[in-house]
Amino acid sequence: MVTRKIAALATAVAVIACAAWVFVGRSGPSAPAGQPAPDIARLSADLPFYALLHAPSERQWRIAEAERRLAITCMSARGYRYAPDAIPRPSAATADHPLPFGLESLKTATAGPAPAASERQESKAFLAALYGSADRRISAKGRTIKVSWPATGCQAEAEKRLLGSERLRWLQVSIELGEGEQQARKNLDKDPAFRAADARWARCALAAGVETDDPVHLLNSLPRDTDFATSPVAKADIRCKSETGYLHTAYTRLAVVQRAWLDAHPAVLTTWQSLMKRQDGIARGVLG
Amino acid sequence: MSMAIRSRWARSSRAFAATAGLAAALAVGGVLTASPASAGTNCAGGYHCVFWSSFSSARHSYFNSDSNFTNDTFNDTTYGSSGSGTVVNDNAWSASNSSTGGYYSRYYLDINSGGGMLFCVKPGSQVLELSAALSASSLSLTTSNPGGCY
Repeated sequence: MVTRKIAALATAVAVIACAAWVFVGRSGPSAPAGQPAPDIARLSADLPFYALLHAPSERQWRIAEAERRLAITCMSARGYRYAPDAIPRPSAATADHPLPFGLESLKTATAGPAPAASERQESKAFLAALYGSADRRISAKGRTIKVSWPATGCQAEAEKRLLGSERLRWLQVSIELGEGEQQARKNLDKDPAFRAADARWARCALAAGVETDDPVHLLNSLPRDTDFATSPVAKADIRCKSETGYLHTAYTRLAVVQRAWLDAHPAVLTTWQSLMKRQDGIARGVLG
Repeated sequence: MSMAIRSRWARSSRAFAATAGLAAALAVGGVLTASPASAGTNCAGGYHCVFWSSFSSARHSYFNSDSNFTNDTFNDTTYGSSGSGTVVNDNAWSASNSSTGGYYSRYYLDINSGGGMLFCVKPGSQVLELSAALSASSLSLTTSNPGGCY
């Protein structure tokens, strides 16, 4: 029993320390020839948190685009030309989905090419107009992070137009929801079905000469410049996931655990949805 | 031949200590705070800054996307010398976005925007005590909010 508790604790610490809550561009898994590839994008899209935080949506686009236009108008009124690029319309091709179980593909690059550089060095007055007084910020702290935003300036004014007096509450609930997603992943490590999947995967990996506890641990152990396409360790990971049906089990169980977290925190979800609705309603008016 | 996996995180006592400290923060709370003069704390306009620990430690400033943190160090000690000379890769603890072009800072697990996105910082925002920031290896700027940005 003690050994099991230590093992569970070690696993939990590894997940917390690794914090491998990463996101991947839309790409299918690289299953070995002859093996049907699971529809990972669909499995990920079925996660309750995906719909809330990551799914490309017209609503999210409207809010971001309205915020951009409001900031531009505000800066113009203060005598400055602020010209950030228009927000791209959402599409499945540009969607990212969380990567909570390590590699899902042998592709090294999971993101598209970086945009051309267009940052500009501006005057202090420009920055003060955009981000306001540097000594006035709003901040909120969660269990693992502290975030702060400008309290004044055109960026803040744009957000205030959409959120009114609820801007700080929006920051708080954003942190709560983000950390809820991470907490659900940690809770999954206690799920018997998922633990069994981890064990099957680990046995397969060991047979391939790779000794590690789970795929997240494996990914974080690889050098950051690893070429996954040629790495024998990465290949073993992907092959074992395919052969053991790992990702199907993992995503299915994660969906259950995420729903349980949301059910246990109804106020977070209610507040999030309410503030999203509010922002969207005002954004529609801004965009005409 | 056995390929034993040893976690890269085991070497980071700073990471574990900070994680443990953060776990003590039990509730989300909001306050108005003061910070030094700049768009994001200690981050000049047009830059996306990462810090070795707090915003008063050594920093590295990125003006554009950067595909590989392994050849960067916390080389700027303007606001603090802790961590000076340390490689940025896997060691950034805080991040600040002072974009003048509306760019989101997207940090990735591996070089060349590989391994999946770790976290994202919106224009004007700053994030500190990030347990997930420790393993960032590259930065990509984007005008779109990929979701889940702080």
